[in-house]
Amino acid sequence: MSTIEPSVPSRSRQVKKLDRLHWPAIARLTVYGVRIGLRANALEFIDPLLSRIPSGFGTESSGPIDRLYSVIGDTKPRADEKRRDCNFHFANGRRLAGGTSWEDVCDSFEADLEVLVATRSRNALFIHAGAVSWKDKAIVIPGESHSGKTTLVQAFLELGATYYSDEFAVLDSEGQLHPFPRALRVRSNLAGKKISAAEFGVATGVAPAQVRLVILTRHVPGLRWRPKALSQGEAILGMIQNSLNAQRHPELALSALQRATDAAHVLGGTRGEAKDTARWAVQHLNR
Amino acid sequence: MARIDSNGRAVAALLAGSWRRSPPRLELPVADLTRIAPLLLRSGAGALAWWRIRHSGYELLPAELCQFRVTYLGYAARAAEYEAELIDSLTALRSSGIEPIVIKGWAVARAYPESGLRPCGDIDLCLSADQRVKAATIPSARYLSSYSVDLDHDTVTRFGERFETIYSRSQLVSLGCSEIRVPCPEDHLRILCLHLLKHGAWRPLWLCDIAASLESRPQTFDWDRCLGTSTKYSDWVLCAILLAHHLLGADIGEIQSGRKSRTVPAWLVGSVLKQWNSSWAENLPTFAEQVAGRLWTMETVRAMHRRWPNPIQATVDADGSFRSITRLQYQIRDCTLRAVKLCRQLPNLFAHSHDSMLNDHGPQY
Amino acid sequence: MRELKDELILYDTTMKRAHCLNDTAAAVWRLCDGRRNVREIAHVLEKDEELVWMALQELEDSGVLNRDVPQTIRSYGLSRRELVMKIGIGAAVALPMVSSILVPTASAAPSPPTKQSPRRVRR
Repeated sequence: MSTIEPSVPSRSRQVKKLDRLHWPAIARLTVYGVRIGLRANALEFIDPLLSRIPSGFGTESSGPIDRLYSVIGDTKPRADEKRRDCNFHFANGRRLAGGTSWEDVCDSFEADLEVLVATRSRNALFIHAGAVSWKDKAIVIPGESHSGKTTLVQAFLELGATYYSDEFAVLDSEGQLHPFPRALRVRSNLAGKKISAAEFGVATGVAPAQVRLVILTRHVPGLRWRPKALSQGEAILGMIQNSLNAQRHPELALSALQRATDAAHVLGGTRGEAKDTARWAVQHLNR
Repeated sequence: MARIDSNGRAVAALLAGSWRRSPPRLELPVADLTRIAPLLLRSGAGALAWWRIRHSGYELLPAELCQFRVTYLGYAARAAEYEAELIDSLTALRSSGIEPIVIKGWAVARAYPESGLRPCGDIDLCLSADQRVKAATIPSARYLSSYSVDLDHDTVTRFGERFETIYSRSQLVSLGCSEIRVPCPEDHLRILCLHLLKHGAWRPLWLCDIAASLESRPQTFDWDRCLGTSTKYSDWVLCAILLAHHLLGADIGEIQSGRKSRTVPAWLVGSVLKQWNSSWAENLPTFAEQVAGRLWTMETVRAMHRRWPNPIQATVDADGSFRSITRLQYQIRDCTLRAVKLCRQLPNLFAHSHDSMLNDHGPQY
Repeated sequence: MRELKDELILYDTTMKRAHCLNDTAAAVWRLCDGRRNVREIAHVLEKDEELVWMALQELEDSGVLNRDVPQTIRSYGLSRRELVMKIGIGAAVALPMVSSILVPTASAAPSPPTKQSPRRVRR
């Protein structure tokens, strides 16, 4: 059985206790340069978790890992296959989720992995931003949570734009935008059924795209969209301000942002209705 | 399920008991939940809302309420990063011989059953006066203080307590392989209460912090130590605790025994519910900026009305009594001081807005 | 450091701040080598001395310079508006400008606004 050596310099008591258990299923992966280990007490628990990992992950066979996820599932069959008691841990021995809902365990894994990748990635810059593309021209909308970026992304999608993400703009060192699509949520039960953008009838980006428009805006109800051109430097500062791993990797951040904004228009200002802003931006790109 | 028309009351009803491992079942119509969802999400109480809803057997929820669950997952996911930053901050300070006390944030999140229930926020540290002076000269500490690490938190000492007293009673608790210094339960509860009142109790999460701390207090909890020796400030702390009991159903146990029985002032409850009725106006420019920007519109008049001093904050700033018949004298005092400050700021702001126009050479669309 | 078309981006790895200097501020910054005085910088750049003092003020306030500036534009008793009047409205676009931000940590980005949310500092 292969072992996974976590990179933590000293194992906590909880991790040592977990190490003593039997782990027949082990996977070692890289996601945007972040190395993760995943182990489970049965093979059947690995695949559902792997399906939650952003596409394009690679396999990594050696070297220290950034986080170790351990899943202990209930292997005794029950009438309701979804109801399993699971415990979920990571390298600090912290329990992330537990209980009877397997969906909760998977959602918790996905959320934690998302944050881990966004904050630790070594080869891509993650920015809190909505991202779409219009005729192969990427539009990036930086903004913190509840700033209205998802609403603006939806407005673009209604006009026929291609969905890249409503949470993270992912820029490589060449400044190209990569898709990081998350399943959209719809009216649902408590578990929050997710539907992919494709099922919604929305095109999802696959290939990297060159950034052509950056919109640094905040929503103020009742105002009209009065955009003002900003400089490349202001765009870079605005995007750094919403980045998750710029502080860890400043060289990568500066390189990615300089290249991303070299050929981009940058607009700033407060906005009112998302529909008006999206329509204006699309007309601007069509010129 | 009976509807609750007031947003403030609906928020209180939703958050009541939400800090418990097994919160009480919620009986609030989905329409009310949807209406107050933005208030809870923006104030950082989305995860607690999710915790309460999750344990209440709701069958179908609109997409807006699923955001509560996303918020909860996000907070849990970020908790590890926050703790790593906390340890790094303390390591940087300790390497220079500075030993801070961690208050609020992580220190109070320990009272909740799960790490995803409370957002991380800033790192609030208390230092002695000497250590603050020292921290100002150390590059790594200067960096910390310039960002999300507050090295100058004055809630500990502003209301009559000495840092040395708090430090002597503080405790070391484990975080992974590190140890974090936190105030003793009595001191921390008092700090949380005074912090809530200092900021006008606008954030429901802070009252939940008080409730969670109350219900996780040890058997040996010393109420006299918690309330302190000052008659006025101990009444303030008592009011905050009674507020948590009155609005959120926090269990306060034996607090009243041996003391003159007190009730929470009605105006205080009303003021808090009024704060919780609407979202924090983070998008509003400051009033000074509006005036300098010459936004002489109805919006300015509305802004003036919104900025009429919060009676809780005005009372605290004036070092007043929560039992006095009216708050008007404190609010007038607060208003006058702000008007004087505004008048002093205006010439600079007018100059700045003029300069902005000069420097603003970008095209307007 | 990153050179843009008309601006300069500086990243302070100790204080975790990023600064954007416009072309005037960047030109003055490049000439701050510890050997030139203000008159010499003004001569090289063919600009007024007051403008150079203003740039130094901006750079000092942003924490970009290694040492404190011994004298500042404020000692002239001039505000930005008065300086513009002196050098002419047409030259207003040459006023030095430094924008600075604190680079957020990983856990800071998604939190709701607090009293200490990162604020952009524009001088």
